[in-house]
Amino acid sequence: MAAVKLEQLDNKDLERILAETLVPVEPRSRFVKRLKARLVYYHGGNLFSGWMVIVVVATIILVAVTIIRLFVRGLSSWGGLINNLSRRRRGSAEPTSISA
Amino acid sequence: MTHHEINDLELAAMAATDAEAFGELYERHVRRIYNYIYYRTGNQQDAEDLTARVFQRALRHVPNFEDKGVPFSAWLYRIAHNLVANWHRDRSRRPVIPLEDHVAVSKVSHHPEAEAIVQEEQSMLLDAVRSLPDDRQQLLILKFVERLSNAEIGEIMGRTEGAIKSLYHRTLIALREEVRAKENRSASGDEEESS
Repeated sequence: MAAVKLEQLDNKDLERILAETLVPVEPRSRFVKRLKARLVYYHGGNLFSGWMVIVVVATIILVAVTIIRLFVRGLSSWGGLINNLSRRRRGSAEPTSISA
Repeated sequence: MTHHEINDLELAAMAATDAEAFGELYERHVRRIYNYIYYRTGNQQDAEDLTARVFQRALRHVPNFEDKGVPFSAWLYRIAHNLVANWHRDRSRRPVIPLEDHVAVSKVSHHPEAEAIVQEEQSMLLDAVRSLPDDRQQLLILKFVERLSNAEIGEIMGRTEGAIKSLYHRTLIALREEVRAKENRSASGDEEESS
């Protein structure tokens, strides 16, 4: 610290060093963008009105019903296929002597 | 008329119902509020955290904003000032300031020794600035970082131009005193170490 003698400076020099030290800094652009998005999203709090809730719930129900229907249809097709296969297997396993 | 062409006070009036208006105010002021907080806290993480809180609080209270003839930025600075004061109060110990990060980019030199001296000076000066009372720190940041005139600083700080001039003069004296005290403390610390 021996080299630093700031207290001996006059006002002009002190101002010069202050001007060199207190320089504008740029915030991270990612931070600026994210914060804006958050604020605008938050500001849009009125989007979560009753209508919005109804639309979201209705969409979720619709999607859920569609998925359940597909699942049930798939299950019944699978069941039918297995049934057919077992019937065929039973048919081919019957003794030929009976028909004779 | 786009939001870019509207002044701050009109935008503030619109911002209660118009998200884009608030977004425009945010774009205009985020950097200067960040700078103010950065120099008050001394580190990027806290500066980002407090800047976010300033704008969240501004968003909550912008419907109650009243045009009292002062710039919109003065209102934001007041929020920032209060949050920084709370931040300092909440911290039990002084912040660890990564001065090197800032100082290293502010001065480029091809002479390592000279560069080291300049960095040392700047570090000490920043440390001394942070030891000053809040209003004096704010004055220095607005004057040197924002490059505002005394009249503009007066509007933001709610004082007359003459009062700012006088405060600035006292601030330089106090800053020099603070630097002297720090150098004395540093010198006595060095002596203790060597003995």
